[in-house]
Amino acid sequence: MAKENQAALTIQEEFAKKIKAENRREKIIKWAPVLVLLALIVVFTIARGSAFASVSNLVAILNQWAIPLIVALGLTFVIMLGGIDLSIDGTVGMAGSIASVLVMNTLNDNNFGIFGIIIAILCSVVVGFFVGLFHVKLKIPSFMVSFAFMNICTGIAYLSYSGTPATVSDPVLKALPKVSFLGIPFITWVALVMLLLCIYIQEYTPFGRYIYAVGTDETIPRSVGINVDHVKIKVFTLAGFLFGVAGVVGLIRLGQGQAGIGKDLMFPAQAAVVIGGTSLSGGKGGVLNTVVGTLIMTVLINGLTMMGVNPNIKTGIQGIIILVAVILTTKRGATVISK
Amino acid sequence: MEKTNTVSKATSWKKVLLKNYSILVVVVMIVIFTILEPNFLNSMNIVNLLSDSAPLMIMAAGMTPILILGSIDLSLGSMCSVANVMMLAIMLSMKDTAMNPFLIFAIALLATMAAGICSGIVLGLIHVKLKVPSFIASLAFMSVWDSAALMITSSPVKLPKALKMTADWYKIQIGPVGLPLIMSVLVIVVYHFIITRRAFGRSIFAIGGNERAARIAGIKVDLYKVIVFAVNGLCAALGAMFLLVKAKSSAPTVGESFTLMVISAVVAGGTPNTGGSGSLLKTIIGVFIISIIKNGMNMVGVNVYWQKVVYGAIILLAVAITTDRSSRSRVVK
Repeated sequence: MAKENQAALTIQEEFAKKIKAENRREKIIKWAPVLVLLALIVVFTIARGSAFASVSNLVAILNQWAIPLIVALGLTFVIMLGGIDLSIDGTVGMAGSIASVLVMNTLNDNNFGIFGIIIAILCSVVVGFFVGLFHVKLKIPSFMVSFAFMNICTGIAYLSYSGTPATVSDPVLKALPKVSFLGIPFITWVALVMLLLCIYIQEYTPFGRYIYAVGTDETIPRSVGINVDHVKIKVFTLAGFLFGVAGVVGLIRLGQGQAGIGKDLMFPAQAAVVIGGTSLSGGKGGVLNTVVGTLIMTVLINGLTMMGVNPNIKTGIQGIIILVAVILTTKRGATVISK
Repeated sequence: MEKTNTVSKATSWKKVLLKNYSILVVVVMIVIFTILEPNFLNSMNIVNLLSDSAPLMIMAAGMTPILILGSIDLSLGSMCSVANVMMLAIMLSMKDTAMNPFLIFAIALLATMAAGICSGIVLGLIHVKLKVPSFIASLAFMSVWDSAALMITSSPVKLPKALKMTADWYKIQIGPVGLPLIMSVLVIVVYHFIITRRAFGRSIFAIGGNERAARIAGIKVDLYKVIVFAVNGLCAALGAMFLLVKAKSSAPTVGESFTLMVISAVVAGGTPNTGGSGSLLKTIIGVFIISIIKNGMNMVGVNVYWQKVVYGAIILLAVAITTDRSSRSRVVK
């Protein structure tokens, strides 16, 4: 009897040990992105000294950080579902272009001011809604739906200004890029407000918790009566809203509305979300992971530019660092399946 | 007895139709474009359309089994760019030797094919051994290959006059069909037979359907995955060769638009990106869907900006029709 008890105890102990080791591993994986970010900062500070670690460069980094952050926030929720949104390049460009022809501009006589911006963001929200709707109701993979909408939205962006991009002449919008509060540029404030909104949604609303549930295994929330389809459509709509905001912010930053505002945003955003630790299979990660992920990408690009690296190699180095970061944080083992 | 027979006959008809929706899409599109522009069925245009689809076809051949595995390769287009500039760079470096131009072409082609296979193997190994999701591993490779292509040459390079004749075979026609397309289709058909009739191929479907079960059943999952990625690299290299010979010049961004075009062709054909099912023969139809959309809109004279909108809408429509919704419980991500 005593022997049996002992055996039971050892099994229990062994199990506890195993769980402990796993927890420790998970903790390391959880903090790895932060470590990568710190390592990058240290490396660039050593390499470039005061040029990198200066207030002016910090402001520059914050400026460069704004748009990738807003875009990646929207994408985070979609990836948490286990889906993917490729429409970013198109939606962001479309929102920026539509906003540019609706506010006071050089191309036409429109002057809707703030309503122009709201309409532009609404267009992007509608696109997000349709991506979600088609994905859920027609059962098409989100990957395909959003790819189709990337093309559609890029086309609409070009059509909105029909060839010649409109330059913003609205005095308020023109002044905004130079405005800063507490030393932080205006567009970064917009990004921070969006960040707070997303944290609130993720942490303090039932909808935010449902996203995790649906991402982990959607059959379970479905069977307990959560409307999985609605959650999914809402997520894509929210992503559309954030892409729209990013488009308007891009317009403010550039001063000119063109489809190019959204160009090359998608892949860095995907990379930032995944580097931050949000898993592509869904159910894991979150908004704060994305903050770290986007910071890694922004600091990396900023630092490499400061080091005077050939822009042609820059993307390559970016790719290698993404790969290393992901390799360091991926779970391995015989039972892990990666697709 | 007779009654049940007719019922089963009707359902089987329906099944056949459902299964071959993509062919229906092709037919409908041909009809629409012909009504809008009678010249669409002009023999010149058919020849053009068929020869234009060859690079897409060969690259889609490599991509289909990857989607059957449930994986994805986003680096395909960038790999194609690298192979494209690399092949011409090799040919240029040997142009002044007294070698036969065709020998130069062959050496360059073999080197490019080897590079393609190697890149596929490296990507496959990183994906399989380090358990990095193929999506993110190939995303990283995309940036690396984009850089590599721009490092080899940052601007388009023309095929030198002395070597131009090595590109002449691209124009050879057998009836309305060009030699490159025949080669691509041949590759697809051979690959199709390997995939459907050999243990290797059946294993790929098993891995895509349920990897854990496949592993437990003793299938060499890792090895097969790497092989599929290696073949994909080879196909990217062949596609790059087609593009080089077709344009008689190389460009470091030539493959950029191909990644998503190839994936949409495969998916439009009826291979879902969820893994476990699909067919290479369907991919042939998918490639034609994409080619006909592109060519047809040019023929009809659709505004360049509208073309993007229409292209997106048609892809959505094609995929909406071809998507398999037979199982209600299937989770679509």
